[in-house]
Amino acid sequence: MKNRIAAFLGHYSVQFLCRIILGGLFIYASLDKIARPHDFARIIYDYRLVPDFAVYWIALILPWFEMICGLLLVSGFMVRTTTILLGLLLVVFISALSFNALRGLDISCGCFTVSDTGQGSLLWYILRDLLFLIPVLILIFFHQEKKKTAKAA
Amino acid sequence: MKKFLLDTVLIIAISLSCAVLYNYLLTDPLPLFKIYNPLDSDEPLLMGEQPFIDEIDVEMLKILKERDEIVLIDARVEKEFRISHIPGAVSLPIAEFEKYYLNRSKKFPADRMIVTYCSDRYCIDALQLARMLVRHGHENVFVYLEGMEEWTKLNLPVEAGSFHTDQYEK
Repeated sequence: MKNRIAAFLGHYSVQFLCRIILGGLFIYASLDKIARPHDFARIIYDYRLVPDFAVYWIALILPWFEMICGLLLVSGFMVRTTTILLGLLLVVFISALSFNALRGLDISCGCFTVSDTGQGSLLWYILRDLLFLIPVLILIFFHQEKKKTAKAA
Repeated sequence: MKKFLLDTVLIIAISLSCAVLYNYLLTDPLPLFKIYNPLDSDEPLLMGEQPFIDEIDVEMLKILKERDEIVLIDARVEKEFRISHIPGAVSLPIAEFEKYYLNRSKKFPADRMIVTYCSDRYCIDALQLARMLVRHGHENVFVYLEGMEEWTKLNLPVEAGSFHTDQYEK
């Protein structure tokens, strides 16, 4: 049974689907932030977690990092590395959201859009980010590197 | 592990290059070597308007209040204002700007210095309110960025109850 599940999750189509979902998600999330860096800087500042001198740098680089990782993942390059990096990023997002939810801050998420209309409950965002970790885990544990499959064949 | 580190460095380098190049091409680039200040990043004022809005600190605010030279405006919601506010402040919640400001014939005297504040330096309402007032012809608008948080931390006197724009105009 275990082997069956592993074979299913390691199957090319499942892996491909996970790559498209996770990569696509991050590409989509990066677009609005790239288009409006000033608004994104404001959101990072509102999180009250990074020092003021780092706000602009994070606002500028983070969306591009998401975009590049997303593109690499979708196109199948450096799959393991990009998956781990995006997984770490999700863990950072979840921690930041949880921390602010715990100290009762009502802030804009800045997850997919930098406009105020994208506001909702922080709990929902945390839950959603936890769901996004599922494809990350599938890709980390069941992804077969091309070299290995070539050897196996 | 080595491959992971090398790939990571490569991805970060590509992201950094794209980001810096993109910022360079922007008409309104992020000032990367400046420390973030909410007053800088706020959307620019309308064409032809000068950035009249500046920050004042608590010492300056106390002096101006003593001299009775300012109109002090609380931009928070009315409920918070009723619980506690800086003595002499007028409530003008940003969401009710039209209701309490635009529909009045008598407004705050345009030549009088106005100071807005809200809960703390992370809340954006005081700044937005200040910008709206500038757009409505007020020339001397300042923001007390630290807001109620600093004021109460310093154990300065506060007032409770409501005091609306209507009363100011009488």
